[in-house]
Amino acid sequence: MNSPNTASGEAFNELDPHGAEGHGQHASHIIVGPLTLRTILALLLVLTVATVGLAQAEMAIQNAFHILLPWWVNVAVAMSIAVVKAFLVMAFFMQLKYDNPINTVLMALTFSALATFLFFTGLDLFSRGAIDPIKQGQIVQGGTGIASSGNKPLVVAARERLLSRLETELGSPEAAAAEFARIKADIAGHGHGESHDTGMQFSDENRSRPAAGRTDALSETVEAHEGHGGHDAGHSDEHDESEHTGAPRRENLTPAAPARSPTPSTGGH
Amino acid sequence: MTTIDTRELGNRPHWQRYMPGHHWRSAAEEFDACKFGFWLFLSTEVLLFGGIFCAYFIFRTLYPAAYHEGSSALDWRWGGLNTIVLLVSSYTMAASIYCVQTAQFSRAKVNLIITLICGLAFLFIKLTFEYTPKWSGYFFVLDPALSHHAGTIVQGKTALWGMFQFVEGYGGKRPGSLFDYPFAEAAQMPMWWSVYYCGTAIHALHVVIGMVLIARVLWRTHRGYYGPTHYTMVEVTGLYWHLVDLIWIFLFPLLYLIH
Repeated sequence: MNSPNTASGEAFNELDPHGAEGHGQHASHIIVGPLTLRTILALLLVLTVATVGLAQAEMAIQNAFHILLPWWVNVAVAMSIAVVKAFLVMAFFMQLKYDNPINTVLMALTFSALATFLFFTGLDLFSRGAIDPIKQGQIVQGGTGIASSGNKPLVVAARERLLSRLETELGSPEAAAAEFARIKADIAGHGHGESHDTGMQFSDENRSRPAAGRTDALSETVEAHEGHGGHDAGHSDEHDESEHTGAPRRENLTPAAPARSPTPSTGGH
Repeated sequence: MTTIDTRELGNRPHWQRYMPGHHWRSAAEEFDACKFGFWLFLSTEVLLFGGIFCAYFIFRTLYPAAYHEGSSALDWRWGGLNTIVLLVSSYTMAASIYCVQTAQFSRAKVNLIITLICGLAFLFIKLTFEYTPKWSGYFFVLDPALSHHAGTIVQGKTALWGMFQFVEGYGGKRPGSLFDYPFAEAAQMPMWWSVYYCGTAIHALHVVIGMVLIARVLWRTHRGYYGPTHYTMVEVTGLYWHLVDLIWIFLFPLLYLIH
């Protein structure tokens, strides 16, 4: 017989040709006896009484001596006892102490994943005090970039920067405005083919320039504003709506959209 | 080649007739693989509760006053009693595995029945003495806390044939009402109640699932399915039940003891 098992003096087992039984990694038939189990139960009960007792004792000490123990004393005591209890349950009741080590490795990985989860949450949570003063402006203003551009929305600040540069180059504000309008008209429509006259050549701080002709619903809604967009850059959208809701042309252009009745709050003044 | 005498096998209990799946080299390998698979599942369970522990961690850090107030609304004695109940049930579960391994079937069944009774006791304590008063303001007549609230009991307002008595001003933290407990001092009390109810209710759901599994194991032990050479299901059910205990070991101090 040339079986590898016979070399070690064992009979070849046809049902177990690789010698898994007896040589493999398995750790079955662990029998944890009643004495061990009872000892562990007793320990767990003692620890339960201890954790409750210590929590009560902390309260009693604080009341008796009129002191305030630091918050972490309570947390550290309760949680370290809980961890000890968890170890006892896993090692003996769940038999990890005697079991195939792969199960212990798996649980260790799981708890380290949990620890990573809590660690990064804590990292964010406890560094808020350092981050909020720096970030708060940007967070609150919601991406208009006010904090980094002198209390103006980014696009307004950029437009003013360009106008002042043109003014120093060309000499007068009027020339700068004319040059600005020329460049604006020149670049309008580039990128997406033919440009409709939406009355709105550029995005401003309140609205994005609609990409006319690409989406039907969008361009129809935009055409309703035709001829008015040029001078309403500073107006709010609500004001805009209330001016035009009565126009029959808009009704025809957007049959799908429910016709909004003029709101008293904006239409009344 | 091993030959199997089926006439002889027919008279044996199920566990002696059990053959591992043909894709396993041995019954031991099958057992180990089942157990490893179950540990994988348990690791996802740990991470499920990890989310709740993380929520607890965040909101306790942000709103310590709300958590202090919320925690003081719980009675550590019920939590402690439930801890003891679960620890005892964990012991009886482990003992029943030992009994199956050593072919002491009637003792195994007794241990499993005690485990089931402990699970029922846990749920009874949780529902009757903790959830119900906080949801509705109705106290079980045998609740020792009722004497503490003697001044605010509304006479004549009872539920379930007089088994519950209404205490004015206590209830109102029921989830359906967005935890609008009107007597809360801390504005973030709803955060505490969310974490408390999520954590304990998902745990209680696991207790129920565990009890169903234990009942099945009890029935099949009675029918002779498990024995010294085949007890995978008993072992795996035990692991699940111990995990339920393990989670409570952390929930108890976090909710009841840390103040």
